[in-house]
Amino acid sequence: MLKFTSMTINNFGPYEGEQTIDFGDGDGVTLIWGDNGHGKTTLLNLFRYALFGRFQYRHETVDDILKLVNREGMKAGKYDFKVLLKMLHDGKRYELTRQYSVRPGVSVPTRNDDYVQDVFLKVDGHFPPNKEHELAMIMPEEVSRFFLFDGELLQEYEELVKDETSVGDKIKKSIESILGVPILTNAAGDTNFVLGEYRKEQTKAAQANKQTEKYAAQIESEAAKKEEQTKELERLQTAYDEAQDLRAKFEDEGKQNEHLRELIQNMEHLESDIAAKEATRDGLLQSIVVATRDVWRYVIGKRTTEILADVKSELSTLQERHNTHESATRLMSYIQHIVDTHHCECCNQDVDEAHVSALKKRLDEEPGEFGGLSVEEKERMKHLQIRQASLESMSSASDTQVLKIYEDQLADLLVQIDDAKGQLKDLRDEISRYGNVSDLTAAAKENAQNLAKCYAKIENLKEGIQATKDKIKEADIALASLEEKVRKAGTSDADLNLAVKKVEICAALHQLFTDGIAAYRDKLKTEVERDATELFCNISSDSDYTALKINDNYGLSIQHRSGEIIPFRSAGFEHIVALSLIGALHKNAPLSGPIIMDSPFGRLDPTHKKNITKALPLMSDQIILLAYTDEIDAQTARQVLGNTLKKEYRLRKYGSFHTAIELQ
Amino acid sequence: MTNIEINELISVLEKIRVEQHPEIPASLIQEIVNAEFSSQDDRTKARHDTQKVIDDFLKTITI
Repeated sequence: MLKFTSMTINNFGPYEGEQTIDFGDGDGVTLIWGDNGHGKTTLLNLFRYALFGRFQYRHETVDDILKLVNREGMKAGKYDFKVLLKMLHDGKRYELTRQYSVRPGVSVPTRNDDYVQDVFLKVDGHFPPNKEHELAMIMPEEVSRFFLFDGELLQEYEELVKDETSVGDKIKKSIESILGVPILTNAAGDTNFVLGEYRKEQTKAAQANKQTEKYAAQIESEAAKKEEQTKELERLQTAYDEAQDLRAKFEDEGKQNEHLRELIQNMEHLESDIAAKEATRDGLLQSIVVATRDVWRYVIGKRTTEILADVKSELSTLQERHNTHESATRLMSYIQHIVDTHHCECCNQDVDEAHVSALKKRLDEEPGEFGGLSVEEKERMKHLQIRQASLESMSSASDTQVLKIYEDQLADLLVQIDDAKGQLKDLRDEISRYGNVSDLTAAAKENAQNLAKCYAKIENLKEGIQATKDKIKEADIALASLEEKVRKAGTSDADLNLAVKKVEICAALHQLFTDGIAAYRDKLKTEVERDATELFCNISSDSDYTALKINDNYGLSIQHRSGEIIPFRSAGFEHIVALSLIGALHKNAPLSGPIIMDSPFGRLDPTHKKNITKALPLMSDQIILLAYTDEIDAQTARQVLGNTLKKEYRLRKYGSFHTAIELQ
Repeated sequence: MTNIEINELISVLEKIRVEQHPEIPASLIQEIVNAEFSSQDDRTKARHDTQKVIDDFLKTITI
């Protein structure tokens, strides 16, 4: 079994400088904690990069080498980067180094051509003659999905329970590959080829014999037919595989178009939302400008109020005196009129002399408290009146409240606009990765047409393959009959008998491997179903779900206690079934190795998370789990893993471009 | 490379061999499987090695 013993990263992605993760030689689980954006996915991709020389970001391969260099390193003038993966396989120590170095003569790299990639593989201290072959034998890329995966990829396994989906076909191919089925299909094909060669020898021997030469001609003709049909079958198979790949590509493009359409819609909504918010912001700013014109009033408000109170008080006193005097003057004027006319207008009666004399006496008295204001006082009162008006115009409590409301609204709005702009930038970045998106409708239409053509082609090819297989079968029956005739007719010819014998052995070998394919598939399905069920029952908290049932695509359905198949399963159970399948494949595959999973717990509840964590050591001898904080409870994980937990690391972010791998 | 990893596969073939083709030696099957297993990444080499294994065996056949 393949095991990773350590990985050293130098100046790669968010990992500044040289950092090593030591996995040790023993079996068990390594936990690597890291929050979003701290480099977990990069770490998963680094395994992929080290093994296959390909760096993947989400679903796309990163082609721009400069994007892989650590930014802090770049600032310091370090442009080279490398990863060293140490492995153990069948007792041999493997050291795989993959590095990009700046080409001699280039001081600051600006494009891919400025780099040189080197790959070194040492096995037990020696460089093997064919490193690609060595690597392909310990970890072929076509089965990497069972060794390196993230939670998102687990959802694809649902396709296996459906009939004839391109994703399902692709996964089925990978499953058969990891289980070793191609060893048998290739052996069946190669023994068939060898059988054809020995049939030619047999035909030659039959032609040299008088008794069998007539059959030889027929054998030659049938063999030629078979060879022609075999070549046709190979051509059709290749065309079928290509059509399936094309179908997967078009289906993927269709999904991408749909996704892109959604992204563009979201982007347009965001753009109009931002425009509306910006218009509101501009309106608010205008209102604030208007309100701010009087803002000084708020600043001097307290003092103004104090002065105004004093002014009002003084003015009130003066006003009161002035009013009293005015009233008194009016009364005096009326009395004077009575004195002058001896008649009272108020009661319309004449006034006698005695009363007139008394009134005259009253008029001659000092005005006292009813006296008028002095000239200064009158001036003062005027001044105070102006001042009061002026001070009153300065204080406006309602304006300051409005301003505060405007400012609060503006602050909220600015945050909303910033957030929306951030989302818009992310959306635009994502959309820009799709290239030209000017005519999405035409692209979608073309995609649908291509897909329809592809489906039709696949159906035609399937019919063609079946018809060709039938013809090969007919040729085999005819050849078997002719060979039987040769056997009977040429019993005395030693050379012919030997040639016939060799053909018989080759035919038996070919038949054995052909039968072996079906038998091995049946055995695998039984064992994968059994082992997946065992894992599933360990993980599932639903005691009514008692088994998993496998189909021809290795898709697994959940069986209820009653025997009924559960028709719709939750996203959480989809994860559990997929993990059970992967664990079962590892148990039954000729090729076994570590499982490295990134955030695999998805939407699982705490019980299932705990159960999966507990079942991890059952899935593979070596598990490297990348999880964000709280994806699983750290204490629970430590408790359920017990001594199977080998090491814990934490990815700690010290800057946008500097993540340190720290042993816990 | 060890054959331990392909024992399961060989055991399936061995069962068919014993029941239906006892005249074919078990070692021949094993050698063919080894040839195919060792060159899974190189179809031309796998076919060449398989053919050689069969050729070598058939050279030993007499009537």
